[in-house]
Amino acid sequence: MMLRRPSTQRTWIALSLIVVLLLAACGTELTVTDSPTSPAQPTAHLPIAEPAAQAPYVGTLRLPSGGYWGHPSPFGFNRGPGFSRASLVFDTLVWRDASGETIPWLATDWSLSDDELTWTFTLREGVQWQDGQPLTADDVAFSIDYYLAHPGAGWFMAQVNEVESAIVVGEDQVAIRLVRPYAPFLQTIAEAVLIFPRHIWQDVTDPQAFAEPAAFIGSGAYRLVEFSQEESTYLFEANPDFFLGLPYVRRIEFVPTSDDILALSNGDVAAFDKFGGVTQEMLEPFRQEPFAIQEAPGEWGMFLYFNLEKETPLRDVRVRQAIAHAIDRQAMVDRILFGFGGPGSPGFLPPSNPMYNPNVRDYPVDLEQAKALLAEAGYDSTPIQIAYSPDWIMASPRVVEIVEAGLSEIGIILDKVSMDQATIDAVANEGSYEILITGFGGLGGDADQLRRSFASSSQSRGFSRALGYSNAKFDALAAAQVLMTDPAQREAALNEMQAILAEDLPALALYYTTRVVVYNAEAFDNWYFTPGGYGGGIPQPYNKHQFIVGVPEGLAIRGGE
Amino acid sequence: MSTLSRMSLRIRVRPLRSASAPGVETTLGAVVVVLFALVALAAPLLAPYDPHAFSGQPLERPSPAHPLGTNDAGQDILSELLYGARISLAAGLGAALGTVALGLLVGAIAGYAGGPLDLLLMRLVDVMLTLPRLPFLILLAAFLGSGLVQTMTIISLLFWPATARVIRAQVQSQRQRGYVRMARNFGAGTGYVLRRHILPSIAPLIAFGLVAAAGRAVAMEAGLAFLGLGDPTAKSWGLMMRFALNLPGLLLTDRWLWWLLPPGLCITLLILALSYLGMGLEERWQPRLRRR
Repeated sequence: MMLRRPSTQRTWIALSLIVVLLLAACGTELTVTDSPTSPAQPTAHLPIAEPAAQAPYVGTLRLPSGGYWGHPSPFGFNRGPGFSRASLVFDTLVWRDASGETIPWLATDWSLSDDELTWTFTLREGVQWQDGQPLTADDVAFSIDYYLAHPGAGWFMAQVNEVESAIVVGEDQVAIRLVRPYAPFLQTIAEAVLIFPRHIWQDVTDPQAFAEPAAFIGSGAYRLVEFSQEESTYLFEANPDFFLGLPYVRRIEFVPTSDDILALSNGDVAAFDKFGGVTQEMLEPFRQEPFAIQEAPGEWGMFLYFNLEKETPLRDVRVRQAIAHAIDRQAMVDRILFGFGGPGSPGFLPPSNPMYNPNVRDYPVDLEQAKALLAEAGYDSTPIQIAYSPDWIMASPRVVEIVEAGLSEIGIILDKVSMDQATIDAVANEGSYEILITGFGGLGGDADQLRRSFASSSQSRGFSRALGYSNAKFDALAAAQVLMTDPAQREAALNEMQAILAEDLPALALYYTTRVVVYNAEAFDNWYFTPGGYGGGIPQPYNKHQFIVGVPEGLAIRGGE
Repeated sequence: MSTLSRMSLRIRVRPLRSASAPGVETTLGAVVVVLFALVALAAPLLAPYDPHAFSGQPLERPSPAHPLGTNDAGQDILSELLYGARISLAAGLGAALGTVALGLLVGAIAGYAGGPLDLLLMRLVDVMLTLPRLPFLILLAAFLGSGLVQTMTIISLLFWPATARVIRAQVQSQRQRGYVRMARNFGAGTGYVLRRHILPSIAPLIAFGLVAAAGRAVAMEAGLAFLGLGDPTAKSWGLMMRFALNLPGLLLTDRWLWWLLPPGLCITLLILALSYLGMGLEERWQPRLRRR
């Protein structure tokens, strides 16, 4: 989810920088290091925060925005970073903290009926919308109904198609009825569906386009002050009426940066995070005070998706297996991630997922084997189109180079098509690709994602959905594992599903990135990676809980009374 | 990149010498351009590695094995640089030919035909000249896609109007000359007059136009690649700079010295050389400039 498009702003800063560099030929580093200022804050060296020792709270936390992620309404945002911003303003029924456990949020209590079909939530008392109206059980039911009425408009990680209906059962109680028993309900629905006010949204017909000021009224800990698409800036201020009290971080600013490492060392931002793409050498300066570094294993991956709906040589599983044998995935880890990550598992799930199956068919680099498989399949040098986005910070041009280097060895001809990241997502949805290089996170979340992405009956759309793949055995296991309450039994089913995927290869995981957050502990010290991700599985270090309460666990606000 | 092309323009206009034929700058320009052309042609012989080969570890410092170190993917930077000359020169040559061909076509037709057609074509040129180049460039690149041919097409589509204007003026003035009128009065056909009289008189303009357009095209190609609008897997100088700057903290180390600076210097040098060459040609064919 850490996909970044260099904003025009960044590009221009960089461009003018180059010209300066060219003209000055032997210009000193000093002229250059001064550049990453944010347009929102032209004076770059404002203090980021009051020193923690003097103030019981953090005044302003400034973070790199990494691009524009849509407008932070419940329907206007893009991908994980967009959800993270929207979740500052809007709440969900439950949330999770550094423990990885589900914690109360809008709901203080919840229970599951004996038939495992109905979840009943008791709402927190006295919660208000930011316009002063009370948040009621009716708003919650309305939000879920609204999601159901606008399929595909909301957060794609929120699996609302598992919900049949939401009913108000008391003044402060909502019952959510499911289509069938659904084990990952709490994470992928209760924690992922943002709740928004009926009195504002009841007449809205195009939720994604709705961007009037009222669209940003939530119940959350922060109010949206402003955002700018051109500058990729977002500014949030603490909501004094928030139900847990005044948040520990009083103001959060997302600003564009041209180089995160420079920006952090200059004090322009308080932290940055990377999914690979940094070297130990780059992190060295941040291994001493006041800086600190946290790492977490990969829940973000880069993939090749093979479109099996289209009439291409890829339909033959042997061609896909040959491709897997020809691509040096370890080289990607060494050359693109600089060792910050691991090679992809043919079973799709990363080792960091609790359900990871290490004993699936592996595809070591073996060109002879690959050529033999291709010959068996009768590949006739038909060019195969490969679509990718050069915009990604993950340097997918380098991925393409490594893929191409391997495939040209075995005689597969690639027709490369580059497009921007938003187009990649659209193409993934439409199915207008042959091979797609795409990346996304959430891989540490519930393993039911295998069903959503690969079962032929899955209703899920989005960039992780495999197209045209159908395996009856996989489908049966996928449908069965949702209903299994015995963890060992479910794990066995999920293991077998990964083994099937590794044989069939509807998609090939290339690598998983180690996540790193590098921060100035004097500005803000409570950074953590949420186990399993937040909001349905977002692997970034921007869980709002850490900004609101200021400590890793619990709901008591640091320094609060 | 517009800054780069403006830079070349400024240098070209600056009066560098006041005396007569082939100045030292012109010769120097020609020599450098020829040198780059030789490097481009001999790249496979000169380059220690295939620029696409992963010949080293990522981000190696300069060493005998890799005189300019390796890039983020472990590819030899010197080899990239040598092969990059091919893309820059190909883009320069291709785009220059395209620009001049389009400019010649429109300019000659407008200048020779005169009347409403002239008016129409020149207003089109005016409109094209007022179009803001960068947004137009990005738009075209987005529609035409990435790749060297597309890049050359885009540059040609952007730069022909200026050439067309100059050529039209020259054709128009030639058309009024006594000997041309005489030839026409003696019954010479349009084709004959164009071929026999007009074309030779604008040949120097074409030569100069080619060189000037090549200079701009080199800058544009680098700029497009740098903005990510070219083929992102090609080995061009603009892309090398883009990848270098994409590396977090590049400027905190001295890595920029052998990764960012060399392609930057190559681009600058080539544009400078083309500008000097163009300036020399311009002075040679337009003696009025010499007297300034």
